[in-house]
Amino acid sequence: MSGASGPQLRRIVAALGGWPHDEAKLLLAAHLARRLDAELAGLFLEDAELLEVASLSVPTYLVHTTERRRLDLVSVERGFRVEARRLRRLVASVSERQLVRWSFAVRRVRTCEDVARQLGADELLILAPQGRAERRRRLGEAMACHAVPAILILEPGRRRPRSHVAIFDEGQDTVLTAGARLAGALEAALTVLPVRNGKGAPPADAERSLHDWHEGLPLPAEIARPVAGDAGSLQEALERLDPDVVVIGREGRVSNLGADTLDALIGPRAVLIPGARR
Amino acid sequence: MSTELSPDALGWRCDPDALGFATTDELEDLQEIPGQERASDALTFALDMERQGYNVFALGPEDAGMHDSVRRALEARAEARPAPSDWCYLANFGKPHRPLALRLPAGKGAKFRADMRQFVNDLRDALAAVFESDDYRTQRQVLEEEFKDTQEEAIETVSEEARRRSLTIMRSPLGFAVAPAREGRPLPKETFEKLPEEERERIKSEIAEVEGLLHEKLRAIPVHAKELREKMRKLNDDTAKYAIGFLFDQLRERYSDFREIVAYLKLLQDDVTANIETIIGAQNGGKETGGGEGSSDREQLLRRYHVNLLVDNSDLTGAPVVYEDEPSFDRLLGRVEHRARMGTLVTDHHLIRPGALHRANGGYLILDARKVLTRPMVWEALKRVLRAGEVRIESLHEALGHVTTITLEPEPIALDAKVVLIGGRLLYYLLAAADPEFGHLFKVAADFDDRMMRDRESQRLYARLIAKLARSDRLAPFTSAAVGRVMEYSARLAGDSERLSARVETIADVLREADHWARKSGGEKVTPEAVDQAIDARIKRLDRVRERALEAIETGLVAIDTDGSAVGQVNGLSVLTVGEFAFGRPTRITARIRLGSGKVMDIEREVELGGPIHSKGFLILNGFISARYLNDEPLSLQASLVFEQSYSGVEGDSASLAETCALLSAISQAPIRQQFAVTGSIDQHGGVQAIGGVNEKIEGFFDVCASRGLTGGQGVIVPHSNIRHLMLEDRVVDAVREGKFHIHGVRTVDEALEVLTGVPAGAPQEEGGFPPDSLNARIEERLRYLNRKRRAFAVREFGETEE
Repeated sequence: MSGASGPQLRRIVAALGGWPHDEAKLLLAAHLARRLDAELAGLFLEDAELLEVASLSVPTYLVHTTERRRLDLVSVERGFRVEARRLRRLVASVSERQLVRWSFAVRRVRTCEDVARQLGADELLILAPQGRAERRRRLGEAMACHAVPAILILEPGRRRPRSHVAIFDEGQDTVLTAGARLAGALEAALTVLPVRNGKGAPPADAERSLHDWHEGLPLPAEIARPVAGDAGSLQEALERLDPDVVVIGREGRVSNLGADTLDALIGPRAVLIPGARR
Repeated sequence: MSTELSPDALGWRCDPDALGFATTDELEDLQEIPGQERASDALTFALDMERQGYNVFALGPEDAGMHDSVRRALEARAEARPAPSDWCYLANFGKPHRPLALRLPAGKGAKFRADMRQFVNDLRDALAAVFESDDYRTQRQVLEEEFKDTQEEAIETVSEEARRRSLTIMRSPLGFAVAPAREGRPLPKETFEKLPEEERERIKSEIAEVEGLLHEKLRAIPVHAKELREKMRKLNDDTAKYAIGFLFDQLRERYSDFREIVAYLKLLQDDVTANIETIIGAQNGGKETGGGEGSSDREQLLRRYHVNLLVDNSDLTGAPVVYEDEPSFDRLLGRVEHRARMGTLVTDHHLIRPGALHRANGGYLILDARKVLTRPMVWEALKRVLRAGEVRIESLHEALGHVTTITLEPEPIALDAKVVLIGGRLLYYLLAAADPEFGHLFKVAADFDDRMMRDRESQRLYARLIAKLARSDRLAPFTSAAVGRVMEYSARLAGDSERLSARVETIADVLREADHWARKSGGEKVTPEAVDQAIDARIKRLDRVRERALEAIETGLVAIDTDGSAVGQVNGLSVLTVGEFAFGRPTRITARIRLGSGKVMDIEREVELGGPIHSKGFLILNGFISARYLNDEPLSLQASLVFEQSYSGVEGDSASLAETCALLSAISQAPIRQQFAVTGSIDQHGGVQAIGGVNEKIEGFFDVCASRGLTGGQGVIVPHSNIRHLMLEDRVVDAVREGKFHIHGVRTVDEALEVLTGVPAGAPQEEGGFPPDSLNARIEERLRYLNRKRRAFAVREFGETEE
């Protein structure tokens, strides 16, 4: 990929929250790390907001399916420590099975930007939010934060991205590069979906860019018919192609649709937001 | 009447010319051992009897070739019978510890096993194909999304309520928390603390209410999860049925004639359906985690669907004939093996191994009785199997009541096999006497004789047997003279000139050894000289004790006179058996008398060195003397008899003639010629009866005489009824022919006494008593004398006469 725009990925950062699907997320991260000869970094995100809530003078409770427990700072801190130890072991175990280099860190964060600003352009951050509301929130944060690393937001528990990557191409090389790299690492089919601009014209150099970034990969790739940039046309195209991963640039007509619309548009798919320059 | 035997009476000598062949190459093999018609008929009968309990105990000498004979008879019968059923073990899905036994026609088991192996492969492929299809994945996703949507909607409802009350619901791995919020984000602590007290109380109350709502919703999640699982299971069932239904249909059609298989396939299909989650889960898990426990679980599961072909008779053309050389508990009944898995011993129906009974099912099983009886628990197990008519595999530890690891109780297999035990006669008699079940389970005794009649026909057959033994061992051909010599040896083994030995294995040993000596001397054929060499070498290897015994006599350590004469002293003869070798040796027997009250004492008996038969012989002797001489008067003597220099037990009655002669010599004071030795037992009338080991006894005394130099007067007195048993060695026969040694066959004590004393015995007179000067008259006279002395003694001592 001599003509690739943007640096090679050096680290795949799996943001872990202590959720049941952390292992699946790690497996995907480890797979990508091995394919890209990168390091797997486990990153446990301690929820700073939960700590704040625990410190309120009003008594609050942790509600579970079977129990209701008083929320306090000590128990939350202890819970974080326990989770961190468990996740570290999990990262080590998965990495050793997949034969990849690994590291592990803990960050106390509030927003997506808190995580992303500590990462570089040669890193891919994988997030797997809990629930639709949180994904919507994370999607919005990721679009808005102008973060340096690429961010892959999974829809946990639904579909593991593995067979088909679709890029909403609005003429940005970084988007094509990121999408082609991900497709290559996943050994997935790649479809470039040129999005017409406000004047109804498709990006002029879509075919040339794809050829540059995708050359040499033994993967099926195609350029679909250009689509209009409205939500309806985009949704229709996605339903027709049914990709596992959708690649959306931070700037352009698609990102301007807003987090709620994008969330509905993407549906049960993962979304890759390529990195931005600082 | 002369009692001396001519050289021709001393043994049979085979005429090689009469055999009608030059070497054994000209003779056809003989398949059956001649002379075993009784055993052969018994075997045939048992094999014809298709009833329970008609198993066979083949008894006879160890070296009678019973194994070969039995095996040949069984193989001949087995050829005409069809190959028996194959047996398989299948997993029992309902009772995993009790695998199912399946009987199939010969050859069908292997096909069924192959079909099931293919079925499992097809099952794996078909399930993989259908469960990885987009169609299935979509349906699964729809269900999952339904569930998630339900969950999300429930949470969303509460979240909406929370937002309405200016609260937010936070998710964490520890659970959900409800917190005061502004613009959807939790209220910072400092902001919250600045709120008025009433506001904080309101929020507190609102939080409690929302927490209650949340808790209620969350409690419903397991119910939804269960519904999801049920829907998933149904989806999987339907998918699996669609994917593998045709595989079952194919098998059902192929095995429609086998009800058990069709029934098993139904159970199998149910099991596949019940475990489809594991199969698919393991498949998915195996791919995602790079193999491991999931994959292992799947293989364990699928392994249950394979067939353990316990007995494969596809190669058989007839019924099996199985000889189990090592009939241990496991090797006879089969066993359940274990393998280590995660540090634990586990087993399944594939680890069931067949025993000899399984392999012989539908045919015949040959076992050594001694081995069966000496291996722990085997005899009881064998009886149990024969009684129940089924083979039940269990572990020896279990049978002994030991604690065992988890094991299986495979379904028993119906047994239809004839068991032939081979053993010695003693074992048979002991079992018959001591084990009440033995007679019910082994109803047929195939009694192998140790000898056979010798006539022209049997000699011809025997020559063919020798030819067959020689050929099967790739020995050099035997000349007719060598065959004749072997037959002479055989007659000697039989201890009867009119019999041949049926101890085939001993004869085969002689043949092999004769071949060895013939080859060593460069011969291409085995000659009589080689046979003699073989026999001599066999004797030489074993006769150390005989040499020592002879040496003791030569040096005078053991007192045996072979010339001169003595009163009350005679050479008796006994046989010693050392291992396989028997030899005779002379023993001095002496008698002393004195005035007494009629008591005759056997010193051997008094000191309990005499066995019961010996004692019986002595009492008969007593009866004979007291009835024959002065039977209307009391015997006024006291006599003692002893085997001189005998320091061990004496058994048998073959010395009773010698003891009688010694005693009568002592009474009559007639000296006995010491150049003779005597053997024979007597009856109460003075008749002489046959004894055993006559050849060894004669040769034993001959060797003593020969070592001192034959005088021409020495010889042996034997019972006339033993003459047919004489098969003396050439050195004795030659000495007799040359007049250097004499053998007398006697019918009565009188005949023996006449030879021993040289005095006519004298026949009883009509008017009573015996002719004057006869030996018997002298005996009576001496007894009368003793009576008079006793009477005189009584008058002198007690002043009165006896009435």
